Amino acid sequence: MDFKELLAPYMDEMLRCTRCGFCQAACPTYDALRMESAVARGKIQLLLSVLNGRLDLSPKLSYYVYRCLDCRLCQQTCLSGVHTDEIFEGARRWLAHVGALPAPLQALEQRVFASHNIAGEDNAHRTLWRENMNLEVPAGQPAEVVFFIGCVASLYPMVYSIPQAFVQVLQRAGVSFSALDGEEWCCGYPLISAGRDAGPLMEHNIAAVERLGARWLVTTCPSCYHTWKTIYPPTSFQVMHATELLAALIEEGRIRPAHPPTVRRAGDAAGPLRVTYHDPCDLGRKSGVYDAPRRVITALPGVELVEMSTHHALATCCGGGGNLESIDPELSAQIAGRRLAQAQRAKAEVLVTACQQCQRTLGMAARRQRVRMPVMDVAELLLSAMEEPA
Amino acid sequence: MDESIIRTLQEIVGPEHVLTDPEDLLLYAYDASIHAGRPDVVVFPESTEQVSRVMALAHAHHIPVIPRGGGTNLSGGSVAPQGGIVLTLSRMTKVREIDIPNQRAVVEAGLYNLTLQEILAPYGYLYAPDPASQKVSTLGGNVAENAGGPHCLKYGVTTNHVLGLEVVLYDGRVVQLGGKAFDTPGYDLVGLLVGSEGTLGVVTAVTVRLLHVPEAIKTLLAIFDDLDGASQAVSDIIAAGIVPATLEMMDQLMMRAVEEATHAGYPTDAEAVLIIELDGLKDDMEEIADRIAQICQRNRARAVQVARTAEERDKLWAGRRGAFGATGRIKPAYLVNDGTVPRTALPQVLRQVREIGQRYGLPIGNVFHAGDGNLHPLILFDPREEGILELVERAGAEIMRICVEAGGTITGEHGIGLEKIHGMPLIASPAAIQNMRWVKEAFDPVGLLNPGKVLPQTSEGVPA
Repeated sequence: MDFKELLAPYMDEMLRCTRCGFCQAACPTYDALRMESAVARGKIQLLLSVLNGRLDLSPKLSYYVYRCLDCRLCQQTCLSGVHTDEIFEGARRWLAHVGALPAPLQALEQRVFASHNIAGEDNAHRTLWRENMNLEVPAGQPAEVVFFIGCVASLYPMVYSIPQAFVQVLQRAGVSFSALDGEEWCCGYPLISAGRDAGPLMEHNIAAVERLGARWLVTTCPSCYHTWKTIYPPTSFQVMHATELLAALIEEGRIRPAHPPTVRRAGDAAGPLRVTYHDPCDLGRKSGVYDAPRRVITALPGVELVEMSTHHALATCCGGGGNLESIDPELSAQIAGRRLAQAQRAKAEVLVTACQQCQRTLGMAARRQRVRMPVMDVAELLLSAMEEPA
Repeated sequence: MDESIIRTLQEIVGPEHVLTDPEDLLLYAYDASIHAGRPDVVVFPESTEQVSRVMALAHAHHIPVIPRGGGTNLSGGSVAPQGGIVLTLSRMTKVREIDIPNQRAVVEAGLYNLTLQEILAPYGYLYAPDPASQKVSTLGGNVAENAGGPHCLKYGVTTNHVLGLEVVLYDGRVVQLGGKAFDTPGYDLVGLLVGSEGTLGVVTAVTVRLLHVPEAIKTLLAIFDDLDGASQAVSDIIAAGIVPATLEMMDQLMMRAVEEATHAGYPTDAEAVLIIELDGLKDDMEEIADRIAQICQRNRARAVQVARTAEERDKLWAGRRGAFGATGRIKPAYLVNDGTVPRTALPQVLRQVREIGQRYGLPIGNVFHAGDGNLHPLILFDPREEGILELVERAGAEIMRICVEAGGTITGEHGIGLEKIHGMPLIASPAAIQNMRWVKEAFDPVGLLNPGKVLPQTSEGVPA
């Protein structure tokens, strides 16, 4: 059985592609590879060929479909308005259904089901990020705000600094919040983006948050945010991104940035600190949150926000989107390097983002290319501009 | 294809740059036209030397070679109806030289047109040909098709801006034709190669002429409630001796698609608009703009607006450049004609195009370079409808014929490719086609370079 009927509903949408090829200019993967297999036009033609019986399912076809950042810039810029998101989501569901998931994604799926996190670690280790902090982080306690930390920031030391900074800001602002610790399970996004359902994970997470009587769920991870906000069923609490909460706290006067951010600058640097903001695809293009992080950055003294050549809805992906890093880490790194180069051309001194995945890929690119540009989260930049508590 | 040939290709360009799997061959079986043809192998060379070795191999084994850039061809020029090697130059993107004092640049064939513009901008220079596809079409492809673009009204098409070519011949020899000078002694082989659609050689590098970015630019949008008024205004502007940088027309059907796609601010309730851009010195610009506005008003323009900011101008152009792609919002496929007619004939030919659309029951949108009479009627259709393709092709052939009858020709910039091959006898006499055949034989004695394109078969009433 090839279950092509799972693909058939997307036929009309695929036929709307006029093959003009303009998506070549949008696609970061194509930009790096310069091969038609990378670009939306090509993938659509392959899928149409499957539906027309001219092409059989193969590991290569599956690889091409999954070798995608799911950044949706092709859709954002498509002149015919082809909904590539729907087409490729459908294609991934089909491929997952017929057992054609690429091996790295099968392994990821097994890890998530077995351990409830993407790293495959004991889920009790989700507390690691805060254990070396000299700070009490409430967990499992009734609170108005539940902080959903996400797998990457909980378990990957390179980005522990994001939740660490965020909780310090919350505490200084006097926000009552709680983490879920081991009761936090993967939000399900890696499975959903691979074409799987994540029902049991969603049900568990909703129940865990509701048990604490929270009114708000806040995430620093844009992928968790996007998933909770647009894929989860309606919940009794509201979902917000960390940058939205931070912007509101600043505007309500509960956080008062006191001085310019404490960031290492070049010896000859003068004038305001030039900060550029990288829009994470899941937060910007997919969720429409563009202004909140910028409001936080521009509220800091001595900072000038400079935009890269692509930003807001047209921002280029960091290379860490979709399943690309699992499928082809080298390609993902190459794309990250190109985004970093945009920040350099904007003459930014600091590259700020609001996503642990973007921070990882861009930070690694900076290290690899020996670029002395700090890559940090909005919360980290904000924290560095606040007075130390007495 | 023979395994040993594939192995040799892998040795030349590296195994990861040779594609033979069915998925990959399918990905290089199409371009932006309605034509298709699957190659036997796709090869991505990185240097002229690699192209040369591939060509020598193809020659030794009698394998057709189809050069390809961004795959944005609108006449089937980059598909492989007879199989063979698709030679994709997308990795050849080096800028070999930017020679500002002499106003020249030497770039490799796979560089995007727009990338060249971006590289030149900081110097205050530009490369004039600006095909609508410029952000994804390559300079090699532009040379092969002798690409035009909105600004070609004032500045001329690709051939007017290409002075030298590095070409790999059918057997792998590499020749440098022309150079940085305006004229080279002997036959104008650069002129011959430009627009030859990959049938005479593989262009690997291009020496182009650079122009200063003009001191001032003014973009006008003239809005008309009838198509006749708009096309008459075009004729009148040209007849008045005014040569704007661009003089583009877009009709209502196209404006609706474009507005949905780009929200550029086109008036979707109007029958047609003219996008008129002036460039040059600041001094006389106001006066010329006034004269154009008066001509438009005499032809019943509803309004003549001026783009007030660079952003407004960019939006209008983004809409114009994206127009073909935006047709997907109306119908899934299009056949685009490319006929060019004398500007005085525009009103009449546009009426005839509309009449053809009505007669065949096919929606036809118009977005084109009105100033040089280069029409682009887009016949929109759904390929799933039974028998529709034949109808579309017949309507397309009729449009070609009326262009020729009006004293025009069948293609302005998209090339003959596969699509208009049957139209060649309409515009070239048997003797002229015979001469072209001789040229083809001189450059490609065995007939392996992009075979089956441009020149009709002898059975089409042309002596062999």
